[in-house]
Amino acid sequence: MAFSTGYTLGFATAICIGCSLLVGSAALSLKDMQDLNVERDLKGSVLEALDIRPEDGNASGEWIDSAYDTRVLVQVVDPSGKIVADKGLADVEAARAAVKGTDADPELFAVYARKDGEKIGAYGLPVYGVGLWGPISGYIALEPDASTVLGATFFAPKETPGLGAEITQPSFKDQWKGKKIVEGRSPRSIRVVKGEAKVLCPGAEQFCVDGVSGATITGDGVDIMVAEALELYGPYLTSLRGGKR
Amino acid sequence: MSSPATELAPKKAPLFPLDKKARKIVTDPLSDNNPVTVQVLGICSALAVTVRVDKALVMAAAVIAVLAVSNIVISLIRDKIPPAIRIIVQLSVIASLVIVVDQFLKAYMYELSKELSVFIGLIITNCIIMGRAEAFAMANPPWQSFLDGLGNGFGYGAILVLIAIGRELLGSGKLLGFQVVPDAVYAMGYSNMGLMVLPPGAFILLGLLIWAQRTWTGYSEAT
Repeated sequence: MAFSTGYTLGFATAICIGCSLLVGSAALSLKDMQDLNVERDLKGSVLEALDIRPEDGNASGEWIDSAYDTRVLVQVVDPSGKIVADKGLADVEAARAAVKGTDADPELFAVYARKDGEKIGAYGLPVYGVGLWGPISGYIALEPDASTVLGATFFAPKETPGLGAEITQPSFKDQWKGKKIVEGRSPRSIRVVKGEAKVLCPGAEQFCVDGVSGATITGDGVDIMVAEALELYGPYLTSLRGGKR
Repeated sequence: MSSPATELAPKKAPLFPLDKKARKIVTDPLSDNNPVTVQVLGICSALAVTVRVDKALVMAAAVIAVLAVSNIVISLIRDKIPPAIRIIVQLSVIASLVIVVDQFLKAYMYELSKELSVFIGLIITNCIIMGRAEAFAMANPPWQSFLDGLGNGFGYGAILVLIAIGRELLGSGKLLGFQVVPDAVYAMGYSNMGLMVLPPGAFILLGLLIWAQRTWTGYSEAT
């Protein structure tokens, strides 16, 4: 059976419309659910970075919502280290979007503090950088002294599985616990080194973590990402340490 | 008095037959004509998503769903598709279904969908699905095409899960996230086989599976 050109074109159009309707309605009807998942995923990663864990080990959606609401205090900080009380996360996002694609630093950035009753038990700093294939990000959580790393969490959605994406794994993340970001009284960043920190950073192991073999560029990305964030948050961290520069 | 015409007229075929032929459509791809071990299709995802059993199960379910539905749809419109554009029509149908499945996973199984990441989207390029659309659904009625889709989907899924069981058990000492290798064995000096977590581990297991399966069925390519 031969098909005319007109029929072929018509058929192709019909298939296109049918397929778009199917995909469009699925995407629209599931959007709320997906947005909720993404939001909970973000909150969950903040909780994880601040070492807030469910007692029964089961991080359900409800637990994430309530733990985030009761335990996490969001502070917005400006480049001079002052807390800006009347701004929220939406303003931080806007500030980040405003400098996107430029070398400029955002005017506002967020700190996620963990409330242990009345006291602050940890500070979580979101960090953003560039890996080999795309953006990487994470959180550096600090002890209340603002000098010791409590933990680190990284996200590397575009990095190579098994290589760059290993920075999201415990084998890499767990090394950060206990590292220092000040030497004496002056700030110092943490380096990601190629090889073993013990060998390459003699006497300065508290400022070095082992990079992932085969992921040099991702490792460098983490290195730069952390250094930039610590510089950005520097005045704020100095004020936390209770000292003037 | 019966006229020859009525005698010769075929009995009205049931709409959804489950006779021997229909059963063969389903069971054939499970072993004798398995898409992975016999036709060696869909290898990419068989290597990529078999580190853990739960990932393999979700991937298998996604492929079964896409394959069954795409076969039905293609079969329903098989007489209407102009041959000149049939491949792109098949691809459009398959791609739409895969996106829908991906959206569902993002809404209801967010964690797993994050880990499976691109591999759900890559079902579009899985040769099994286009292969079945082109080779079977284009020439057979919807019900048979549906059965063919199920059979091939389960044939693919079975191999995926088998490989995943081997990899998770040997590579992490777990099954579905639960530790099955007792601590006492680790205490005796046993350690997990790191190779199994990496893609080469899947290659080796897949090769062994193909060997075992072909020995069992007596299949040989050099005939």
